[in-house]
Amino acid sequence: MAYFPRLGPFYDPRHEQEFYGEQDGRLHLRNLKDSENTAFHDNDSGRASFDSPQQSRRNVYHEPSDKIEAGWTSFVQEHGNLFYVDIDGGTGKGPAQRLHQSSSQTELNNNSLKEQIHVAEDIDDEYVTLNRNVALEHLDGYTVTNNPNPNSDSNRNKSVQNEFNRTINSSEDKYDGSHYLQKDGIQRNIQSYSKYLDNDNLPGRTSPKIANLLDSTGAFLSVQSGKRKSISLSPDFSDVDNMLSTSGIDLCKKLFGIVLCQYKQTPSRQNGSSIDHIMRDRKVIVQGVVHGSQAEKCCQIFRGDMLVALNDIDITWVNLDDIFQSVSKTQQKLKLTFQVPHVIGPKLPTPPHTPTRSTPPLFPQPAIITTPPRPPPPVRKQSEDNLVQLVTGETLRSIRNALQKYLISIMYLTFATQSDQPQDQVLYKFPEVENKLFEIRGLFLTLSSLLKDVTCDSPVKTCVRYKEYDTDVLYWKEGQDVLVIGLPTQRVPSTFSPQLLEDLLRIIRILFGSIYKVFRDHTVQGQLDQLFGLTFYRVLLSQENTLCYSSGLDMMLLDTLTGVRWLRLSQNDKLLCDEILSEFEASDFLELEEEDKRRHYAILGTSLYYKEYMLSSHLYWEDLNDIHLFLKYHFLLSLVTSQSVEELVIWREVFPTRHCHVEREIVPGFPEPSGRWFLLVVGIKHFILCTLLEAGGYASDAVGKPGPDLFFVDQAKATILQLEADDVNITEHCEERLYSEITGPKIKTAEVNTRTSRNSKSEEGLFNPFKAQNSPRSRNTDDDIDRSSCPTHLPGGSDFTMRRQGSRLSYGSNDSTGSGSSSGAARAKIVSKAGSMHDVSALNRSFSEKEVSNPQVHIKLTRGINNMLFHYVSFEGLDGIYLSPSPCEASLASHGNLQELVLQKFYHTCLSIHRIFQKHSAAQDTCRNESSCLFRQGTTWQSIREEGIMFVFTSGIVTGPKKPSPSLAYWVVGRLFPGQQEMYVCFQDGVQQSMVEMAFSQTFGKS
Amino acid sequence: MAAHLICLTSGGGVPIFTRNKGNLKPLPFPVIGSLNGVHMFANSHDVKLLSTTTEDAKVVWKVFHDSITLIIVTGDDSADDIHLNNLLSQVCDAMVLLYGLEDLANIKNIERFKREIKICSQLIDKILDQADLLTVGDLTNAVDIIAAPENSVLQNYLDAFTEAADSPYGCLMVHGKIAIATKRWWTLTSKEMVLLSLLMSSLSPCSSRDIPVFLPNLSPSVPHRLLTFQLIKDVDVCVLCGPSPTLAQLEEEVGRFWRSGYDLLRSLLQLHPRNYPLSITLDSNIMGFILVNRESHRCLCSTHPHPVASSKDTIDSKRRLEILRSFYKHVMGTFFPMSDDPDKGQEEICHQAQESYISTDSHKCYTILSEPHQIFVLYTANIPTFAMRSVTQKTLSLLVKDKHIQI
Repeated sequence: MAYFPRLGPFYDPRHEQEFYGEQDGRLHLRNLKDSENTAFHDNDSGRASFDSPQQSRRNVYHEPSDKIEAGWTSFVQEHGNLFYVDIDGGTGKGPAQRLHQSSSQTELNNNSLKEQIHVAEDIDDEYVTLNRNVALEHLDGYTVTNNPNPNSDSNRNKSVQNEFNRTINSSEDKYDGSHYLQKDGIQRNIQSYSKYLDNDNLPGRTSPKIANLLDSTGAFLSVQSGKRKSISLSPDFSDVDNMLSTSGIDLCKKLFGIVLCQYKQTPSRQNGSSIDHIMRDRKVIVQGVVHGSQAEKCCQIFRGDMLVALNDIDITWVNLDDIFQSVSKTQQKLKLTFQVPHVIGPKLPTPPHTPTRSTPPLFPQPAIITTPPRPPPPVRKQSEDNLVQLVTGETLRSIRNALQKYLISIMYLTFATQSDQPQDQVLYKFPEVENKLFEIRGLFLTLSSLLKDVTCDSPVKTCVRYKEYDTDVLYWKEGQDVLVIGLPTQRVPSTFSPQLLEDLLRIIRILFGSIYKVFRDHTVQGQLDQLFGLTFYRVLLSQENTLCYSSGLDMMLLDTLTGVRWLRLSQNDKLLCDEILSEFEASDFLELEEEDKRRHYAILGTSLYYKEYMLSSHLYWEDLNDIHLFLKYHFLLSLVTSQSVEELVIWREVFPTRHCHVEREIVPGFPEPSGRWFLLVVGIKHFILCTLLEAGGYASDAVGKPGPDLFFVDQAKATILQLEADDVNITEHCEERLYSEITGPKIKTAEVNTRTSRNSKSEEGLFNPFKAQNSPRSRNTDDDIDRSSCPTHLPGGSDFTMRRQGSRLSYGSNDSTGSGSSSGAARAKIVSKAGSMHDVSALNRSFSEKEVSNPQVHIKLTRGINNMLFHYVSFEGLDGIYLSPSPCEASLASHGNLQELVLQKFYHTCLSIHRIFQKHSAAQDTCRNESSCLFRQGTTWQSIREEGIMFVFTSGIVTGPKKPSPSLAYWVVGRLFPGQQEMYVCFQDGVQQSMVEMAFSQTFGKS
Repeated sequence: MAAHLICLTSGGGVPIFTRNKGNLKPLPFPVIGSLNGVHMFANSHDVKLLSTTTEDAKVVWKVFHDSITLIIVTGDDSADDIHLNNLLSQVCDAMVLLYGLEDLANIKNIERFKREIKICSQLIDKILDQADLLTVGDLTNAVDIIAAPENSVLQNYLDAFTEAADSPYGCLMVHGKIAIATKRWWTLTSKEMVLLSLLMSSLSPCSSRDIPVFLPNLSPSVPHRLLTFQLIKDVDVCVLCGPSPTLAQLEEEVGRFWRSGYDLLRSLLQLHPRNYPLSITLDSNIMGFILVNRESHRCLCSTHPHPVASSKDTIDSKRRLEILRSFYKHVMGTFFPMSDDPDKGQEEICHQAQESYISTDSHKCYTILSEPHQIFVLYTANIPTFAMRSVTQKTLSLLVKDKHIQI
């Protein structure tokens, strides 16, 4: 089953005050064990609530949630993560915030409705579901406020006939009628939904569709935290003999099939009043539902619900017996009002199974799965540019229009045509509009076949100029077919475009299997349009609107590094992620065990992304690269990075590179099964979970074009939600990693440097005397922390290099007298940062905490010293991962025009260097037939290891008659390590080389 | 360098000549026609076909004077197109130098033109034959010099001789490198100086010659006479003059003017592969360098920096020059702006590259731009990367400040 880390027993009377801190019955489940390293750490009132329930209860009771709220605000997430939001504690929050929360709640409710809106593309196996937060903004008015006073009858009387009774406090509602209309619309939706449920609610609930709906309904209910619901049930008197002698608990069980939680121990009798008090405060909780009873059939009463009223009369343990005995005399339907617990933690996708099996089964029964249902109404979108619109917010048409100002083209041309019509040469073209490149397509076709005779190889790139603008045209050739892509050189550097083509070809192969066939298949041309539209949008348009700090070049550099951007979590968190993923991959779901048949899919592996960063991957690296490309070229990574996604489900058949497009070596022993592969991408908020499924092998063969397997979709969703459980809370840790300063080498902005270069010089002079004492001490603190796991990181080594510095054969030592001291000091700093970067295990939170708790050392390390590092990118080809400063670090450092220019230059230069690295390492690998390459050049740069360029920026401003205008010199250095590891750094001139060497070698553990 | 060079008329696409370097078979006529055809097709659609890169090779098209189209097919060194364009311009200028612009721009009789343009073949082959060159002037657009201590004395000889020849333009060349030249010679454009040097080294040695040349910039239509006299082997004195004096007249004067300088010329020639004075000692890790002055358009190149070649040097002189050329092509145009490139430069102004290096397993290169000089130094792999900068800076100042090196 799914993993529930330390989510304690669902209900324990002894801790009931922890669960139900308030009379409203909100369930405040928290973790004692974990409290130390969560945000409660610094919140005294929060901790107090754990230490002594009684005291905390008093706190809560007397000071309505002020302190608790303060402790929780850190959990209120930007995009309205519901689970930590205390809605009715209005005292601490402004109306705007409440509005936001309620809207988010609406979204969640709405979400569960839309959950089923699978956008199915009939022509292929692709199903896309995506709800965007933005799209739901009009629902803001739908506020469901918690009743601040659950005892007030007036509110309860308002409960509508609707099964889902929301108590809407109209006096608090600030919105006009139109919003109510919208709200009503939603409620109608819900009603129709429940009807839908009720109608199909056959015994056994074997339909997976229903099961899925039930699941979503369950989610729907659970997110109505602290809500009331009223359910009308007609009592069943068949079992009841004597109404008056039976206890309320038994009556409840017999009449409705609701098992209430019994208290075995009676409260200690200290004085009479307290017993009464405790009995009154004790909640009446549903323990379970009797199988086959009315309560089970209605599917709305769950374990953990709190029974608050019967026919609008408040129920407590004091009057429980009386009320049941009295009201049960009537033979009519009775209205039971429940309070839904406020669940702290994730929506429980798989509520724990009770022995009574009172909760509805959540998973489809295996027998029915074989006929995957069509996604149910109400909405079923189906349009060509749906995906484009969903991920970019623009239609394909508008993208096409925007692209018209560029001379771009993608054409698939062929010689293999029977007719003489020149139009028949074109099998595919994007955009539809005929532009100049389309006009001269004959040129490309001719060149692609002609150059074979001239140079014995096929063309890669042609550069043409039209109206003063250069365009790069790239070729892909197979047989008599040519695919050409034209890109404007000004926008797409020619160092990048070959990679773009390569990636596009790979993604087409992954998605459609064969390039040759796909362009001849007219049914998928819509999808090709989408793919190319998105690609051009990403490459050309997306940076136009947003003020990107490096005008898109970073994206291009990072694209050429065919790796996955990796966010290094602390080891604990990484382990947690891995554990959760493994749990999912193991797929020993209860439902599947009961099954006699072969499974439908085997999980080959999963990978988890947070925003654009990969957190963890259990995939073969080639598969990972495939999937990464898929996400990248469908704009999905950018999407989840820029906004919180309500829900994203993508299901499609893929043709993984290593299975379908590469000659496989035959490994003796275990041949990998051949079959069909399916990619399932599920995204919630900023998370994306990609699962590669295999049909065939030990799973059964796939027949036809199977639709999404709802079971796996649900499980994937559940897996993501687990990551958000309060004791796992990967989101927070990710954000912490992304936005804390300690994640990597500190970078700085170039702007400050020119301005304060004089000041910092003098400051360095001041700090110089301290340096000698400071740096060894700070090093020691580092060593204390990570010595065990960082053997290369020895104080002796640094001393040695320090001495070597004395030789003065170093950068900048000739021209600047001050640099000796400055770089020495800066060196100490980079080393400390580098150490933290290098050492995976030292990067846990205890490390950062220690650093923070040692502010003295920290300040001395950072203050008053010129940090010389501007930017860096490191890439490991073998692992397919790379590191670079987090966007926060980058944005912190990039609030200047100059920094932008520097970065732009950095990326541009890196692209060139990377190209050289690639070309010459590739030349080393391929040992081709000599006769076929007439023009193979000498091997001048074959063993290239490093390249660096120093740029000087001179602002034209003349500050004084004698002073030269301020200038800034900075280096861009790329280094190729053995094992395809590449690293690019940008730092200010004047850093001693020994320090740069150290940064290079220490930072990534290679010497 | 393996290369095809094709020259056609722009209007009709008639092939004028093709040159094939390296072990390449001549291209068949239909292929040449197609190569030109795609270019003309693009032209008819107002699109300019600039270049095409294949996996290993590169094809560049260029039209000159609206009259001839040059197509070059050569190995792709992943350098900027600017270097191949530069090469094609040089080829065209070579044709102008020997044939005259007017006849080149207006080809009246194609058959006659085809026959007559063959006089350029030798020079064009020399330009294409970059790997065999001992000079780098074709690449840097700056004329190679040889900096000898004897130069200052020899200058008087030259000045006297040119006066006798009644011409302000005169120079003394050693293996195609200028040792000394008159003031007016230095006022020639870099293109002309480089071409004249190339022309000298392309011609087979002879005691004296009289060649009509059109200076591509100064007088593209009116020919001058280039009179050259071999003083000793590989040392020539060149004079550009008008109709008089005749070759015979001047030849008689040569002995009179230069005989006393014979010893100086001998020692000048001794300096040949080294090209800079023996008094300067460079770092032992330096295997070669190119020093360019972008203002005076002179460059000094040496791949024999040390009088006694140490045995551990694994890279021979030819390969050293090849690496330096390759390094030059790699950084110029890509990171450093070429001085005469109008397209680039605008964006480079605010962020000008000043230094660059490459380090490989077998050698390292470093370049420093310090206007107007730029130095490219080739090091052994033994030198630590951090040392290269200061060594390069010292080398640059040592070379620039030396009184014998007039760069």
